Amino acid sequence: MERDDLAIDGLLRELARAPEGDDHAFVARVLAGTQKPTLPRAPILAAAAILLAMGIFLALTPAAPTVRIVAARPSCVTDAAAMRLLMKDPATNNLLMLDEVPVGAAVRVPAGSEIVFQAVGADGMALWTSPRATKIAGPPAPVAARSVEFARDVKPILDQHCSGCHAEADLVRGTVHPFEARRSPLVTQTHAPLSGAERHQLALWVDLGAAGRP
Amino acid sequence: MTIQNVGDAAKALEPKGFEALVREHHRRLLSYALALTRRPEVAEDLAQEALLIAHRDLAKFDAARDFGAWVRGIIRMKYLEWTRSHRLERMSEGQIEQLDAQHREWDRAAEEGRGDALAALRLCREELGVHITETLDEFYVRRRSCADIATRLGTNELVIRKRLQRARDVLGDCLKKRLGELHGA
Repeated sequence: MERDDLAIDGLLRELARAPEGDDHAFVARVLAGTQKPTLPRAPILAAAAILLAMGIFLALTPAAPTVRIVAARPSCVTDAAAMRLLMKDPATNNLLMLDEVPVGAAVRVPAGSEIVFQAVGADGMALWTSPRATKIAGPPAPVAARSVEFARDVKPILDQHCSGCHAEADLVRGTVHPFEARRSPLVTQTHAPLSGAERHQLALWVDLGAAGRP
Repeated sequence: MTIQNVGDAAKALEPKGFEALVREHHRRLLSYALALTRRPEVAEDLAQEALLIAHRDLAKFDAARDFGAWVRGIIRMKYLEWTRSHRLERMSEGQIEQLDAQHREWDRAAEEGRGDALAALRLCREELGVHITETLDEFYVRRRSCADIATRLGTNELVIRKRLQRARDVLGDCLKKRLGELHGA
């Protein structure tokens, strides 16, 4: 690129990155980094050590309320297609969905939250769930996480396809293994003509712990 | 705001002064980092690290210099570290110097009250035709590759590359006019 071209390329990328004007979140991250005390180092290093042991590598953003994580495949899982980042809801302890990214992608997660990782197969179901949550220390950051709830996200699917012949309680009794959609007959053995999106929704609910089941 | 004397530099040492500098300069600094890395997440990290270093070393800041130019120098250093650690091909010294020169011109335009480069570019972008705007959106906003865009728009990759080049040329000319660079700034 020529002189103007390269600089204009940068301006165009910045306009696309933050089309609304000033990037208040970026400014807040910088200013948070100038506050003392900064992030307590011992908990961060402890969290990093745990993640490293699982084959997940952290790229710390200095003293910021979000942490960039490189979602590497855990060494115990060889065929993961994606990594799912979940966080514990501090109020209910249920798992909430933060993001699902390709293996190796860099993704930001909020500091001050308990993060759980899942390796996800090509079929969209969890292959592995980290056995414990990892708390990323730091000043609390805004969280954009979504829940998958039985009443709102699962029951309508069962009502449409299953409840005509089966009692709701029977449908989920013995057919759901929380955090293991691929071992749950509700997901893998149903004979109802579920769409791909509906089956994915059921699998996600189970992989997130199947909270709120009757 | 440009720091022009020691008194201003002393004010900048206060948290509020630094905050004002960050608010004023962050977007141009991010666009500089984006021109170097072309990756938003990396550009954000480099710009953030550079600003934190600037905050730490504010006492060493030469008050005769422009704050934006100073932090761009730190970003450039962090960019070189990043390419080294990731074994990436880096931009040539000449290209980086040209990028710096363009940003210095935009600094002068801002100091002399001739306008802000990003604001001017936004206006210039609105004057472009439909086809060019669509291609720019596909490439910069939706971050699709030229090959993907060509497939979606039913043309070939070379056409898309030329269209993007043409768009940047047109925007460059428009920017110069809006910032008065053609009139001997």
